[in-house]
Amino acid sequence: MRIMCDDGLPGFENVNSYELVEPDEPGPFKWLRATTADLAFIVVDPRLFWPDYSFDLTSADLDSLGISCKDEAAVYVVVTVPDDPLLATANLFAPLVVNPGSGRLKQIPLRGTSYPLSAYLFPEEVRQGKVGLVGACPDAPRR
Amino acid sequence: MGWSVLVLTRRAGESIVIADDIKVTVVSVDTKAGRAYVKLGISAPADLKVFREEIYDEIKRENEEASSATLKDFAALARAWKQMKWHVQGRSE
Repeated sequence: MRIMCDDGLPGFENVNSYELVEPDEPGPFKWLRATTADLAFIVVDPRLFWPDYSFDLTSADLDSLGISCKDEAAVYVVVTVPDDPLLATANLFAPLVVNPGSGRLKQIPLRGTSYPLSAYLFPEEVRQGKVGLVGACPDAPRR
Repeated sequence: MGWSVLVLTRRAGESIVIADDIKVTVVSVDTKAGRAYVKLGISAPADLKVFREEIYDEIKRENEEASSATLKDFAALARAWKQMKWHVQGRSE
């Protein structure tokens, strides 16, 4: 899907054209890849990790995206992956809000919420490796 | 038109008004560990965004860090997600 980001993302204001790429690996993650620069972000639908995640948009936000209510928007958050990928975090404070019809995107800092800029994606058991990530075979039949 | 800088002194409880609908009140002035802290109350239309100046820089930093993600990172995330789902489902069964 073609994505247009007129203001760019903070730190990358000059990059305005992206595409949302469905990856080969099954799962919820997607690439937000710039079409005019060597730049890509891993993004994910936050509600798969935080089912209660919600926020309000101002009418100025809605206008600039060209939508009439927030339920029309598709929402993604930017994922940051440190050396240990199990400690990956997502930026819940400034979600990427997309008009799914036109592909217009804006990264919107939320007003009046306490969502963090970096929230761990995976629960503690996964982060601490207690789930047995190494060598475990999730597709094997369980007893 | 251009920009101008206005410097004025206010006491706790006093306000300034910007345009017709924005009011900034000095709620309190405190000193903690030798440093002065000013607490401001901003009354403005709900549509107006008011953020600490550092916030924008923090988002910028977070984006810059996120932009270095590799295909390997992506694969690792997809793997961890699969494990997490497996773990959560296994627990609820």
